[in-house]
Amino acid sequence: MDIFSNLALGFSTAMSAQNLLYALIGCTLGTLIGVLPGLGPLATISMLLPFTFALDPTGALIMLAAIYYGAQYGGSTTAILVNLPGETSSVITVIDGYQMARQGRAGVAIATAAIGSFAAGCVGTIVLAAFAAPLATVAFRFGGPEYFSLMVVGLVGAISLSSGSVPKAVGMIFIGILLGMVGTDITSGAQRFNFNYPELQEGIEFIVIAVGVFAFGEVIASLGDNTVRETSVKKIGQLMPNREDFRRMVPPIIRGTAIGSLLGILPGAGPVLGSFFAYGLEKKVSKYRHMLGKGAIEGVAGPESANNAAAQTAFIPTLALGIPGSPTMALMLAAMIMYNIQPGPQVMTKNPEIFWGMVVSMWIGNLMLLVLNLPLVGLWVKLLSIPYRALFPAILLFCCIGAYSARFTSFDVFLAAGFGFVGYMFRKLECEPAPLILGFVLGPLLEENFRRALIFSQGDYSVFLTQPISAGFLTLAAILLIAASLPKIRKSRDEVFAEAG
Amino acid sequence: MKIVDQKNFFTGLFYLLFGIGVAYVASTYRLGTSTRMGPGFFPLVVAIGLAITGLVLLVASVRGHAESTKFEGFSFRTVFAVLAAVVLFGLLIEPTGLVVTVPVLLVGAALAHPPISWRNVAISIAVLLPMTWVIFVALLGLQLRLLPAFFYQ
Repeated sequence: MDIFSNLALGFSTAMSAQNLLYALIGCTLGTLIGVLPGLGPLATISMLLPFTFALDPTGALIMLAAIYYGAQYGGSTTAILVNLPGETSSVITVIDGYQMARQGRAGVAIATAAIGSFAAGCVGTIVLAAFAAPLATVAFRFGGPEYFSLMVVGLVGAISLSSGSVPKAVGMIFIGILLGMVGTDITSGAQRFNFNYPELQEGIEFIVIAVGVFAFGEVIASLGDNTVRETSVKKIGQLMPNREDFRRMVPPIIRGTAIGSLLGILPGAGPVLGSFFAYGLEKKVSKYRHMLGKGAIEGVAGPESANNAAAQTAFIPTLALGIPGSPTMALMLAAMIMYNIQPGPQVMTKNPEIFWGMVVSMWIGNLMLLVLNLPLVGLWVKLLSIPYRALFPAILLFCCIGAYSARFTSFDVFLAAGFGFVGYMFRKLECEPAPLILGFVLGPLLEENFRRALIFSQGDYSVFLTQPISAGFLTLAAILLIAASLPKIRKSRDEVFAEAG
Repeated sequence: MKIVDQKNFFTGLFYLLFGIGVAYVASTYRLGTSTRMGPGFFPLVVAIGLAITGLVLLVASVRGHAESTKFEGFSFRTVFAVLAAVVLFGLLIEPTGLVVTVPVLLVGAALAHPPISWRNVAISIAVLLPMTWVIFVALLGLQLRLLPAFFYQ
């Protein structure tokens, strides 16, 4: 099947009235929750998961993807209006976006973000459609060493791009991997770390960790430390960019999309790296580089297109190899597994309608954001003025229902409460918990491929370096790690964070 | 020895103790050989890695030139109220249904964040209880009970 017949299959799945409705609901809900300050995309997705429980797998995944896009869009709206980045990938948008908002051009900034994201999303979808199938063919030839080393690249990428200290992030990943070991060992069938609780025999339900560490942890931290201050929301002003704005946003959108699409394929925080690089490139080549940081439209268009293109192409390793590149992708992957869809090279041949339906629905989701949510931006902004104390009881309630109804057992609710405590402690200790979920999802895969590699090499550990593809991945991981610890790069990275903060 | 960087110190301590604990449990499982690994092998390796990471953080945090941070502002009231409300939700959902658990959770949430306005609590119950039932039970068909279990016998 070529790319066009694949996309046609996708369209026929995604365009059914039912699935369009799911995409619409998902976009709306995602934006609705994503716009709230203090709730990042991880917390948003975990909290909204129960809404998809009752749907068929295709519908559920389409809605989930829509929630993901809605949450991202809502996050950049909040970032621009209240100078509060909800996640690392919108850190860059805040710099010029908030300056634009201060000049009364918040509407134009939000519209630029949406237009840039849509353009990038279109290209990202095509890249995804074009590369996923060939990549899956290559992946069929991957053995244990290759898979293991590729996952190491993803984990190292997540470490080197998290905003905190490197050893803390390494620890988070280790803890995540260990939590993933709970339950039945796939290879030997032995029970591990279940402490005689029958509920743990099949492992910890991922939504329990997600709801606990991200949603409960964030709620407690926001309430306890009063970090959610009454923010002054900037006026939106005019929404439609003028002719001059359009003319100026085109080149950065093209550059941002190219960078983002490329980096998204690389496992390990593609969107973050994409928006950083896009901003850096604008600073070097843009005609208006002297205005960057002072509310230049290029500073919104470039990074926003880059992170959206990367967010789209990040689905390539997630869907085609079954290896998520970022914590958010890990969450999406875990959700797919919950619906009995094992992402990986087989998903394209076994469930083509799900795979291509999801790809196309992502594009439709982007379109919906542009044509439906943009006019509604005034409504979303009103949400920002609802005090947090009126909202968090509802957040708490939805999270409890989510934790309970994944398996209908109270045990999961208790476990989520425990993870809530842990999540709050992590925040107090300035440990960024996002890498934990990546470790949790990758843990069992890492172990399986580690074992497979050593069976293949008859116990010889050098196999990871003597197999050329695996050696290539490990070199890449080493470069990433060294780059992250180089004082110069660390410094410039911290400067960008500081500039944004 | 002075703990200069308290946040890294406690993180390191947690990583170290958690790592040692898991490593101990893992070592009670069959380890096997590198060709035929048992269920204990991989967790043991990762747990040791975690413990070493913790040790690195610990050592760095007591050195004089470490950045000084303080672990403070632990809000017992919020933590306790929120988590107690969640645990109560878990305990009560099967025997009593949403009609009891939703108000209990919302009261618990209110206690987490003083000053408490009972009027607002009443409003949130009046809004969220019907909304929960409509969305999750009527529309999504989740197996959640509205009323206490004895109503269904």
